Amino acid sequence: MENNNTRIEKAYDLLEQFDFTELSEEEKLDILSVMTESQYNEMRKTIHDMKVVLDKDIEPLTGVNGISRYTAKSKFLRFIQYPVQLYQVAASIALILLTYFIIQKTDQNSITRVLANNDTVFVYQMDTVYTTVYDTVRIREIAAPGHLKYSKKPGNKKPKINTAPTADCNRELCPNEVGKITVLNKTNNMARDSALKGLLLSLN
Amino acid sequence: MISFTDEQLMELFRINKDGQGDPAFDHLYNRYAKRMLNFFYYSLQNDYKKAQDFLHDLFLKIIENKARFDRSKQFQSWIYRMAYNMCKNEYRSLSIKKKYQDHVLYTEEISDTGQKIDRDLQLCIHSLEQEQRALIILRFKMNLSVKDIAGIMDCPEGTVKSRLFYATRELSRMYKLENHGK
Repeated sequence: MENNNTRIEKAYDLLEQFDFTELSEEEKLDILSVMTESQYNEMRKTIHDMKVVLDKDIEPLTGVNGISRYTAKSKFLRFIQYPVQLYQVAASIALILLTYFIIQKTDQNSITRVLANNDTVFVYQMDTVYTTVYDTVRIREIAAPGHLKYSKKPGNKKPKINTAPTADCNRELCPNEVGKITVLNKTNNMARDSALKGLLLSLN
Repeated sequence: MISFTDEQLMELFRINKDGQGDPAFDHLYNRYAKRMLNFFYYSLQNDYKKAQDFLHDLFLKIIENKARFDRSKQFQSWIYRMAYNMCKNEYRSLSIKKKYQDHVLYTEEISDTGQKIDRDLQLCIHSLEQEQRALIILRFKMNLSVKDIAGIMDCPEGTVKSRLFYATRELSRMYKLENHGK
C-alpha cells in the first residue's frame, strides 16, 4: 500500500503533464485520493498561468564585456554601497550614544572616587593626629602636677596652733596645753595617751 | 571553445591565476548571466536594481571562490545553490516583507486585464514562503528538472516533488482568493 508521500509525488507528476480528462481510471483514483477534481483543474490552471507570467525575460545591463566592469568594482566600493536598513542605522547611533554616556559616567565616578579618597585621607589624618596625639599629651601635662600635689598625705601635717586670744580651746590646741601634752608624752602614761588621742580627734 | 561544458570552462578558469579577462569566465558569464538575473528578479520581488546587484555579487563570488569549486559536481547546481543562498539571506534580512512587496508590486499602473492577472499571480508567488517561491521559480521559470532542483537544494527528488505539490496547491488557493475577492 502506498503511503501519502508517494501518492503526492505521483499526483504531482500527473498534475504537471496531463489534464484530468486525459488520465486513466486508475490515475484518476490516485488523484482523487489526494484532492478533488476541481482542485486538480485549478492547480493545472495556476501552473499554466504561472508559466505565462514567468515567461517574460529581462536582460542584464551589461553584455559580453561586462565582467571587467564587475571586477573593477573594488571591495571598498561594495562596502560603501552596501544597502543598510534604517533601523540598523538607528540602532548603531543608539549604541554609540549609549557607549559614550557609559564612558562619561565611568569617568565621573572615577574622579569623584579620587576626590573622596583625598577627603577621607585628609580628615582621618588630621583628626587622628589632633585627638590622639596632641590632645592626649596636653591632658597628661595638665593632670600630672595636680597628682603630684596630692601625693603628700594631709594627715602628716602638724596641727595648726592658733595663738589668737579668741581661740576656742575645746576645738583647737591652746598654748597652755602644749606643755601638758609634752609631759604626758614623756611619762608614757597610756591613759594619758588616750586622753591625747581624744583631744587630737576632737581637733580634726 | 563554445562546445566546452560548464565544468570544463570552470576548470580552465580555475587554472588561470589572473582571473580578469579570462575567456573561459566570459563564456560562463554569457551562459548564465541572463538566467541568474531572471532568477534573482523573480525571487526578489521583481526588483530589477537589486537583481542586477545580486548578479554582480554572484559573479564576484565565483571569482573569489573558484578554488572551492568541486569538479565532481555540476557547475549549474553550484551557481544556483549560491544564488539560492543569497536570496535566502536577503529574504531573512527583510523584516518588513509585506510592506516591501506591496511597494514593488502595487506602485505599477494597471492598464489592462492581462496585466492585472499578471500582477495578481505575481503577488501570490511573492506571498509564498521563500523556499516554495524558489522552487516555483526554479521549476517553472528556469525550467530545471526535479533532479537538478534536488541537487541545488540538497534533498531527495521525492521531497522536491512533494514540496512543489504543496507550493502549487498553496499558490492555487491564494490565486483563487485573490480573484474572488475582487
